[in-house]
Amino acid sequence: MGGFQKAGFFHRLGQAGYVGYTEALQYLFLLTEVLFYTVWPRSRRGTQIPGALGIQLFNLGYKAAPIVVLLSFLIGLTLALQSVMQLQKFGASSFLAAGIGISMVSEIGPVLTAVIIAGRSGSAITAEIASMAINEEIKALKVMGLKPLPLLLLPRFWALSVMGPVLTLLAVITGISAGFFVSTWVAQLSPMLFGRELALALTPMLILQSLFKSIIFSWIIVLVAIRRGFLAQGGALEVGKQTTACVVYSICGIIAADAFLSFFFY
Amino acid sequence: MLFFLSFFIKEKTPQLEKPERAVLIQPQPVYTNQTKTQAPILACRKVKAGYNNVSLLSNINFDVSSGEIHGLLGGSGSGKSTLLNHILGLYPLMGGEITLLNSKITPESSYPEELRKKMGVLFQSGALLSSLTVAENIALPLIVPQPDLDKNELAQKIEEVLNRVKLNSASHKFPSELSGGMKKRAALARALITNPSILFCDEPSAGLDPSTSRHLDELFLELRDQGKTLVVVTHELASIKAICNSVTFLNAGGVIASGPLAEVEEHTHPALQSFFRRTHSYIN
Repeated sequence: MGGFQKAGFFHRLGQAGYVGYTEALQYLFLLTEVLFYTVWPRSRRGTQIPGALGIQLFNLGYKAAPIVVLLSFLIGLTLALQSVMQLQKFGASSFLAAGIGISMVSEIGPVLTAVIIAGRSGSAITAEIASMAINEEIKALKVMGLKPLPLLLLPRFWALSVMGPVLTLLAVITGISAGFFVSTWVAQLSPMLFGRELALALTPMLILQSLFKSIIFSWIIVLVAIRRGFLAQGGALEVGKQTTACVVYSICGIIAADAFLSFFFY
Repeated sequence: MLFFLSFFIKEKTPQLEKPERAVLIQPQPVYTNQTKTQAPILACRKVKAGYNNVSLLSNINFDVSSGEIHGLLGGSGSGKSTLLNHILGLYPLMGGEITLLNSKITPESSYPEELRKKMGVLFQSGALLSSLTVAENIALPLIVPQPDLDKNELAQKIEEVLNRVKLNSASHKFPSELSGGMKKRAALARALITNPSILFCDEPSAGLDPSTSRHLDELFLELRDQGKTLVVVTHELASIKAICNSVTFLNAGGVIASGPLAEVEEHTHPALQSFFRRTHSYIN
């Protein structure tokens, strides 16, 4: 009697590779959709709800600001305290400003902000769209002659493309402020020295790289969130499943992109 | 071993006598004072429908005349909503041909997008966008394709359809603040804002109390009297008898009967008998 044979390692590896390849194509498709509808205005008919961009800027940016500020301040504070303890052993406390500044601008600012956005806004986008899919709202948009994909994707994509760098900048400023607080109150360094060291360490190119990273991370988050939302079908269980997948895939994508970009900018 | 066992079981299980299938009773022009156009507003010919290359319905034939309420009937899982999804172009046809408002839909052709402006759809759940108010939901089919539409004209149109469904007080409420019946009426208002020629309703009475359901039926009858054609997917017997002029009954992947309600009700097929007389379920 024949039975099902368990797939071998290479078979499963091949399957995983194929799934990864098709997924990558889907994200590329979403990106081309955005570019198409943005670049060619005539195609936008039936794809825009008036005021949708403003609502998304408010929801994805303004509402996320408090949590970004709080977490980046705490991370900056911890980082500065840990650094100052080690630097004081070598009498090198004056390097604190450069250390905090460079790490906040080049790594912690963009990555931390992206992880917060993925957890807060990415999951919210997926949950919203997945709920729309299971409640027949997407079908309703289609039968009204509207285009659900660009209608839902475009405002979120551009809102996060703007608010990602803004929030990153906010996180960087807050994190450096926490470092400044530690350097003046704990390490007893002069504020002037902190400012001078910081200005020497932060080059315009470093800040531009940071903002570029934050745009790429924002795109990863919004594309994963939208794709996962549209994949939902069935019942409420699917909303949770796709939301979890969105956060996991987004964070993995952010870390992988960060590693790639670090090599690129090296 | 299991294969032989299943064969044995199949052989020994007494089979219900299979009645004749796909009896097409020619729909008659019916019931309103209006003069009927001869060509049906919706015609399905040898339609084959399903999902992911799995056929669920085959050889579906029926006509819907202009100005009538046509019921798509059948038990749960009989394929009513599947057929509706294919008529609405949400899934591609697997075979056959649908003629809707003189436009042909075939597996080879893409769905004629201009049809969407001439039809309205009321989904089972209402399918109102939860992030928008009732008025914004109703405005959606007009404002998205025509962003420069005059605001006063739009407000007037919204007020008109809200009057029609008797929901004026709820225009600024969000869907989460509405009862089931109000959601259905708001969704009906959204379907009517483009003044469609044909309205499709998927299980409009589902989840509603009898009085609200009755109120919705009255709205459908009003719309029919105003010259609209309605295709209603339902299995609510009271509603069918109250509003339908003609019906198509689906069972086991095909049409059992189609035609005027009175004639289909008298059909001898056991599935129809069990449906209309609410007797023991017919298992095919």
